[in-house]
Amino acid sequence: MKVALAGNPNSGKTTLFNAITGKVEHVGNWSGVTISKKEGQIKKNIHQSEGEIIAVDLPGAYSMSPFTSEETITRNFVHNEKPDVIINIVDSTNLSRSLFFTTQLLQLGIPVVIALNKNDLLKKKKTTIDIVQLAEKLGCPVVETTATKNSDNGLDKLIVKVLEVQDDKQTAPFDDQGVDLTDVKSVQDFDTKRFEFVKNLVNETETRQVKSSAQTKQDMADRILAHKWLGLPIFAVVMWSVFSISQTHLGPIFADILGGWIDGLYTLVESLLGDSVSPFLSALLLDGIIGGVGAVIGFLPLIMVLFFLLALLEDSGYMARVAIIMDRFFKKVGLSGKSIIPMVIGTGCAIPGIMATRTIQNVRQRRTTAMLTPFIPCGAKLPVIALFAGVFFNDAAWVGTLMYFAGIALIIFGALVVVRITGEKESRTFFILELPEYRFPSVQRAVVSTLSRAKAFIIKAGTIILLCNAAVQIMQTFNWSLQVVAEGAENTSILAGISSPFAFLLIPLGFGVWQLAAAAITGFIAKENVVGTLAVVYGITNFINVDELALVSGGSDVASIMGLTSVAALSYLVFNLFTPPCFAAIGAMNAELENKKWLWGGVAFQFGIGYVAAFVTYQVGTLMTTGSLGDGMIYGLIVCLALVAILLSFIKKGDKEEQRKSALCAA
Amino acid sequence: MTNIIVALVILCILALSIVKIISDKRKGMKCTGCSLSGECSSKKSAKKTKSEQLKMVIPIKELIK
Repeated sequence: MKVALAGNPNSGKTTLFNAITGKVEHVGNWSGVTISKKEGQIKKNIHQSEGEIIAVDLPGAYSMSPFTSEETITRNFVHNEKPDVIINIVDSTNLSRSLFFTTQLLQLGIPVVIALNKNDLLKKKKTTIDIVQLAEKLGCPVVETTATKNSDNGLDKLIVKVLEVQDDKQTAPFDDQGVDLTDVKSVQDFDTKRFEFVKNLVNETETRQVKSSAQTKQDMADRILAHKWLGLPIFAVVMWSVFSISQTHLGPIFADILGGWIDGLYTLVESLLGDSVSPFLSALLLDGIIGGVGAVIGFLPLIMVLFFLLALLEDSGYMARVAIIMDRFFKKVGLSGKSIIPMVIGTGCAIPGIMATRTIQNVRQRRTTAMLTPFIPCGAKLPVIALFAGVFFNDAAWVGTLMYFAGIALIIFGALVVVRITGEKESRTFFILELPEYRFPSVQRAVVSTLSRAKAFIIKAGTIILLCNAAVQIMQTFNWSLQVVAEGAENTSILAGISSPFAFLLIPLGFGVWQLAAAAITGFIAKENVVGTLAVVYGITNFINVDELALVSGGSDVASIMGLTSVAALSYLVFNLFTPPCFAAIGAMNAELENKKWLWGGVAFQFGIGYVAAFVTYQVGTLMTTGSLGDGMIYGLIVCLALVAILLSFIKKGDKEEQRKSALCAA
Repeated sequence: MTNIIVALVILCILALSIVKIISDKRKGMKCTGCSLSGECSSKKSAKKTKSEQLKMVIPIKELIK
């Protein structure tokens, strides 16, 4: 038996889906989080049926006439795949808006059960809905549910109703017989009639104590948090607090404990191996595998705290306000606030962020957002940020905050460039987002989401990162004649041979050494590899432990291990964060951009931006801190000017195209 | 003898990692470990989406029939 979960965006479909199937799909307190259908078996303890019941979570839709691609998925599923029953999840706090879609679902003839969700919020608002009358008028069962609650949530009752109606024939309370689909006026008239029907139904069944026009505490909060001028500084403070807690206060406490365990394992294995084992095998196991993976895993507590805090923010409804705040800036560069949704999702991983661009209707905006989303530091880049913030900037929370805002600034700059190149600088779009209600975030949901991400991080570290570190260790141990390199002659290793030409290109950026170049290259497989490779090439097992870093360097100057100044370290961080993401994310870009010109243009743009931003960071920073310019200034400047010239030539071409379009329109 | 045992342990660790990656790929997961990767779009499905986006208004009457 197949049951489809359909309803308006942010009505709680995925929360309900997770509750009845036991899955941990990503949920967010805003619309547009689910962009594809997901299937799961309903837990046996919820129903008494012998057969299995498959629930299908569908993206949110306002109507059966799709406007966005995810609404198309919903429409196609209920129409083509003919589920046995549809559970229509209705946001009970927004009854009038939700029932328009309900009346359309009822017309399909498939049995419908209405889950009147968010019942807890309804009670808080002191609104009552006569569900008996509502069920009677609609001709289908109505069950009150609160999917966020663990018990007494109405979900078992809902599934009982689903089983009861599965063989019934659904009737429709509103019929649009006589509509002429070729006539816009006729369609509009019938839509108006449908709205009237819904309005009357709501008037008859709903009793509100607080009028929707009344100013509430939520409205007061919005006047401050989503304020034209205050909104952005508040967002900066929020992000700074998130980084401060995760990387300076709470995160390092847990990281120290985990670091101790990793060190313990390293020492145990080292003592077990003794002196009789070949130095190559010993180094491969200790430095390549345990050291490399341990260095990455060491950052897990910091990342978990950060993800936990971001999950709380998302659940509270604040992130939807951020979209509103950013819309003002994004609109000016040809994007819209809708572009912020993929970017927020991209803080976890760039791939789902890029996929989320499907919700954007405008093709140029969608492609631009897919191309620029990787500029937002994803979860894989967090260990890199944490490493450099910890080692070079004394765990300063401003480093992470700065990187996020630098990412946003680069997105705005990138969008400005794209809109000029495509010759659409005059184009304007509107952004409408239904703001979810603020709510106290669920700690349980945040913990579940954090644990799911932590599990993914550990598996990635134990597979891809482990293999990469082993390969790096082997390439570092042998030279091209496949002989073990002598101590002090690491420059002759295979790894050094591959990385050195790239290192030469990186001299103007302040980190022209093969070790750092090798780490940056392996970062394209997975960004965590940057940390793992640095651990392997510098022989460090635990970056969190600053004492050990000092020990390895043989002195108190931690930075000297990598031979970097703080400015060069910042430049290296900028380069790793703003050059193209990992190959998997580039693959996702390829799928969403659907155009090779856009894909390669996007990757080249990311390389260019990363290079120029790192160059400016290093040269300007060096000038400010030492009074003189950094190494390789002249040829770095030539490369940057060449990149700028290429960009300007494209912009000029775009301007001409726009002029041609304007002339055509005028004619 | 010790070297052989250590080499075997290393080979086992590496083999387990490779097996996990291959099994995840066979399950259709793009990125090993990622809870979301099973949902990642293929190029084909994304193209389908684009063509469908052109149909901005689908007559509901047709659906009912």
